[in-house]
Amino acid sequence: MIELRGLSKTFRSKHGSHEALRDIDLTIQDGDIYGIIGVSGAGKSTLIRCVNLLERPTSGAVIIDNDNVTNFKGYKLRNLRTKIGMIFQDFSLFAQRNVLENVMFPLEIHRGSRADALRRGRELLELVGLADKEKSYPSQLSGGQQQRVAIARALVNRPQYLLCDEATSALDSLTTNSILELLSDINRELSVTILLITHEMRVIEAICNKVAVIHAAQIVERGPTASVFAAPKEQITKQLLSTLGSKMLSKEGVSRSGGAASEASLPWPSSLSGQSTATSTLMSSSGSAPPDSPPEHSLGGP
Amino acid sequence: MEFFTDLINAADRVFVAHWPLLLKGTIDTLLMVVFSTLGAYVLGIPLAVILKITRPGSLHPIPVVPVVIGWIVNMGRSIPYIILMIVLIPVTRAVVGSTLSIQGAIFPLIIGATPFVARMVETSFEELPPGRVEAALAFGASTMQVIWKVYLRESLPSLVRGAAISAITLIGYSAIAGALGNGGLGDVAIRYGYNRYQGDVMIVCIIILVIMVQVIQSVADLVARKIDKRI
Repeated sequence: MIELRGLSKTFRSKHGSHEALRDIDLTIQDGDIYGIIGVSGAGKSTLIRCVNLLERPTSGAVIIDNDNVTNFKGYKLRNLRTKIGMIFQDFSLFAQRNVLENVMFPLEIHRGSRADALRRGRELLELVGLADKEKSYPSQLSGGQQQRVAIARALVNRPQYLLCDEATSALDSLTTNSILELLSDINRELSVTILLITHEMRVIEAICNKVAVIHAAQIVERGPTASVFAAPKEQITKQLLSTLGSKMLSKEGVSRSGGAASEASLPWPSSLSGQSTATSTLMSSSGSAPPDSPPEHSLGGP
Repeated sequence: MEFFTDLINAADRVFVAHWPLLLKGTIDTLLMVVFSTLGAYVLGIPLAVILKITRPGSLHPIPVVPVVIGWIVNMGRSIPYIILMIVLIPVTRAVVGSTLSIQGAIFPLIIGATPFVARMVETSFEELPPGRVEAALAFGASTMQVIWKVYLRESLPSLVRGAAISAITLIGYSAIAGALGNGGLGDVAIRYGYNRYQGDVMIVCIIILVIMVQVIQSVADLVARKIDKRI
């Protein structure tokens, strides 16, 4: 369980101070796929970076598994970070390492045996469907493939938690779907709790069971995705949902022209029956011509 | 065309007449460049690492450190090399024992090139996307691991290209060392070309220097391309 208690962060510079987070309280239960949504500059990036202390909060506490980790340093901090995987908007793969070496990086850091690391690295590449790419370099992969490698790297240490910092924002919508599906599988089958931030309502809609809306450094609305979607209270939530509405319309147009679509073909966690129909229609029709085809996962236990 | 034929013939004559001198000059220049480049990197890389990680917003921000180091580095770079060499004569004598010959030249060359190298290396580090350092930290990397596995390993192709620029700059510096009697092709060119009005010897020295620069640059480009895994 990840708890944020009264978390605030203020950046100070010569040009004055900027309040990125104000008094954030948040609880992420084990098993959640918790989505935090907000427009650019709302503070969501700072928020997720506070969880693994890439950013130090100005005040408040980060509590992970009932342990106040806010002031962890050195070895304790590095050890804590092995429990928390992270993926990034720009993937942040190491350009001079091949795919397998990238995936093995977290194990290399913690000095395990190389044979174990190799075995584990290949296992994870198998999981994300890139077993045949282990000798490739990141520059030779598509965006979606790079994010899969990043996911494998983030999971190689068997973390309990996975932080996703705008993980799909640099990807086209079909690739986004395949990555979201992979994240959903990981959550379900490897019992990894996921905290993600995004500016896209459809990401929340597709995989999150809980959502919090962050606006101007504060969380203005939160709850189970279904109830927030059904009865949004805040103006900003309604605005974010309306972007989804218009996208859904255009997608419906696409999938209609795409022709036949069987809704039951993919196990998709649907939070809202009304809207997810359109989503799953899109999901299944995407299977016909995927630019970055979601491969078969063989999700073995970690 | 005739000009080039004449030039080649003249160069040929000079070689036949002066080849022991030119060979020694070439070897001396190479020795000076190789050892001073190595020395400048041994000192310059740690300096660049300290500069990089103490910057505001970096791994261990200590605002005063980059300012002080930056100031020293800039001071070192602002002194013309020929003057730096003269200023360093007492220090060189104390450290090396002599200010003459190759050994006497290498010490001031290292001191002169280190600030330059530190800046080159730091520029290579700056080119890395900051997300890569952040990713390494997020997986629990220590500062030393970030330095080795991200800064140095990820910028290796850029470091190789920078090393070529540094080595070529040091060829220029070593010619200045020649002016103060430390040997090398610069020394040959000045003694024969300038003091004895033997322009042909000087031209041949220039030709050898040009070839040397071309070879260093081509080899570095080749190596950098070979090891760079980005497209």
